[in-house]
Amino acid sequence: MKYTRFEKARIIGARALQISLGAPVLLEIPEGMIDPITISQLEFDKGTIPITVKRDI
Amino acid sequence: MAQKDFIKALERKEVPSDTIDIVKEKYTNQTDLVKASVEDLMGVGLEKEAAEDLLARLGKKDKVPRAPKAKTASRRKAEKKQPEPAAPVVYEIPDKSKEYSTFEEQLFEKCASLKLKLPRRVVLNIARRLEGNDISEENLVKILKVANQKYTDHLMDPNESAGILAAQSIGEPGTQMTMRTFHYAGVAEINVTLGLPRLIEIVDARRIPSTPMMTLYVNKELSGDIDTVKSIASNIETTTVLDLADIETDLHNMRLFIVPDQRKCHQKGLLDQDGNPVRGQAGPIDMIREKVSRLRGIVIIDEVARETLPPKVELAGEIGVGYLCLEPKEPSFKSLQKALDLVKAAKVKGVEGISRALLKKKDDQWVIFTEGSNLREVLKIDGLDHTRAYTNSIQEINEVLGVEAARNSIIEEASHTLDEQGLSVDIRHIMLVADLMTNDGDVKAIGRHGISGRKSSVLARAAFEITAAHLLTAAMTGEEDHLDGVAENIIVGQPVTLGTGAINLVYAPVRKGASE
Repeated sequence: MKYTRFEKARIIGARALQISLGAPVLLEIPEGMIDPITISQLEFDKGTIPITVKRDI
Repeated sequence: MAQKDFIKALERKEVPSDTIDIVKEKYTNQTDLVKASVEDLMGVGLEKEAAEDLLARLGKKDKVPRAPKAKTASRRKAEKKQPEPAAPVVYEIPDKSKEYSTFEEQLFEKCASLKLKLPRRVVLNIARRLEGNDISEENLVKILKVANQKYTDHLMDPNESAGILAAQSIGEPGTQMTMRTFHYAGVAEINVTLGLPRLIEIVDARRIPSTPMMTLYVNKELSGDIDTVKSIASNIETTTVLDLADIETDLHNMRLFIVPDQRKCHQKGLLDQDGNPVRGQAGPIDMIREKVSRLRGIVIIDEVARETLPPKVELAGEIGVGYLCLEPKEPSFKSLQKALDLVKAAKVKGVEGISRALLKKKDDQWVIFTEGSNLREVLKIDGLDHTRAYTNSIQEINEVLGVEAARNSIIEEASHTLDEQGLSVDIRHIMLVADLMTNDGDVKAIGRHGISGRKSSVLARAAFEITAAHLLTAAMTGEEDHLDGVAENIIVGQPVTLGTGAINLVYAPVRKGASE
């Protein structure tokens, strides 16, 4: 499924919040990458975020 | 409602009324009733016979036990009486669209094979531009691909705030519009409201524009001939008695004299150069006579003593030929004045509401511009190209041609108004506004009396105008608000249902062993 830019932002945002609160990261991340948003973006690109959207249409 | 329909259905099946009265206490629809057995019905209070008869009428034949022979005969009669179940009415949607040409067909197939999702309109536009040119297969694919890319680039994401974008995109250039009202629409002498006042007029869906105007084209084969076009135009333009004749008042004898003026009649196309009536038409005096004779409170007099005539009338010739003499039914100054006003304004010919018709040449074709608008009547006039008749009155287009045409006309008028001021607003913003105004079948204004005033949410309405009154009535009538819109959610302090706020996340764990 191709996400719209709003969906992408919402998913990354939600995941970043989880990570910032201490959720285990689902990827091997490079040394020194500590920003939850960057990590979340990386996860999104790899497709490992266990979140999707419910579309009403 | 449902109960009523049910009873009606039973009546149609000729079920006796006393049976209906009993049955309706227990059953509310036909399906339940058909399912019931004779015993069930007897339990409700029906006689056995009546129950059997009822079920038979409802078409439940197999379960009805055979009654004695004598009775079957009568029942068969009854059954025969009941009309055959009518064949289901099939409504066919008339397809008035043109058939695709082979080239268009080819383009559609190409799109399908390339898996491009282009709307019909775009494909047809491409086809129209390319038709007749020799284009290689390869280039055709390229063109379609580029078109598709451009199209998808312009697509908006779901949940994008398109309405706000449209409002801003029209609103900002709107601030630059001049308040200067009048412009000339190609023809000198015809004033057309343009600029901000016109835009407001369109968006407010006024019934009558402040300067109604029509643009009429003459049939192709006639359009080069100025005389024909002139005569058509003169048939459209309203001509009153005063436009054709001088009116003299004789206060002493309480009479009115209508003296047709040759020059005026010639100008209005009723007389030719030599003062003879145009062929196929009655002379001006007869036309005036016919119209005036229908006016109330006025009598035409056929004999007048020559000595009593005012000098100007005396020169005009014979009565009934050179002039007409009128008298009010009541001899009083008041009714004379009234008669004078009536006669002055009496319409001799032309279309109601159109005060002037002017000609202008547009690439070797004569085009008629009118001041005033009456599309319905103009469409009845022969010689005009009805497919190209245009009026700037959106309401009139809606009444005569329908909402789709009205929608197009809103788009056309609004974008023309903005264009004329040198403002470029993307047509899609205007289309959104036009769609909103017309989406429920008639043209609605934007604003208090239109869209904003009819929103289903109380809070949204209260946010727009007269807050207290909306909240008060809502409180009194116990209105509900489902917080579906944007304004409501802002008031409540929630994320709005737009963009990121409109998305619902779901936890979707990756199952073990699921392929990537």
